[in-house]
Amino acid sequence: MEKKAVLLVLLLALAIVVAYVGVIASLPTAPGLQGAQVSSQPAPVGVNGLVTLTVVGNGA
Amino acid sequence: MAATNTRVYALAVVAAVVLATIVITGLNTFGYATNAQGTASLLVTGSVMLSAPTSTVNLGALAPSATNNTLGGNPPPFVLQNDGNVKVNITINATDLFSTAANPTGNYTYNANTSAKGTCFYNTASESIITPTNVPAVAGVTKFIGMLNYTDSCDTAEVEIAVSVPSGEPTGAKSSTVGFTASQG
Repeated sequence: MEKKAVLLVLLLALAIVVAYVGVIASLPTAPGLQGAQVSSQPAPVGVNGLVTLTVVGNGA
Repeated sequence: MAATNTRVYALAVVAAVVLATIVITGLNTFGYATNAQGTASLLVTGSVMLSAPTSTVNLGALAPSATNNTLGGNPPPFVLQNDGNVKVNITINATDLFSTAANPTGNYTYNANTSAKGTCFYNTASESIITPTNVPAVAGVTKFIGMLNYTDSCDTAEVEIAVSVPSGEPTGAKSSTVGFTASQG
């Protein structure tokens, strides 16, 4: 009877430990921020301007 | 007998829970089962953005040998604004304005100037072109504004334009497309 009880205790304890570790292992891990290490220099950008005038009276 | 068995089983369950708690505590202590703490980090990348709140300079009607410029604000000069989050250097080049005087010519000059927001770039001769200089040709890209700031309180620069119509320039409408290119400073 005593041996049976000890065996039962050990089995139950093992089951609890296995269940606990299993639950921890199944938890999702943090996704992290992979790909954020962009260190290249940004590309140049441009805008255009316009200068205008009208020439009048040449040769008058 | 049945009551004894029930008591034994109950004691067995309690003992199992106690034993499991001891084992799990040990696992956590040695790192085999734990909720690890992490560190989230990110890097804000540089962004180069340039706009021209004032992108057209109209110097009006001029006779040969006449001059005009934007220095007095009438007509207003170009205004360039750094809309990014890094300081930028800015280059200039342009198509010819006059048919009888190709760029670069003393008939068509420019220079960087402070704006209504103040001095927002390196306003020195070594870093910027701050005195009247011949507008370069398309192939003659020239840096003329150094380290234009990006904070909204001071992120603009003016580009003054001055012209002197060549004496032999034919009548008619004249225009020059001016290219401004910003790169991270």
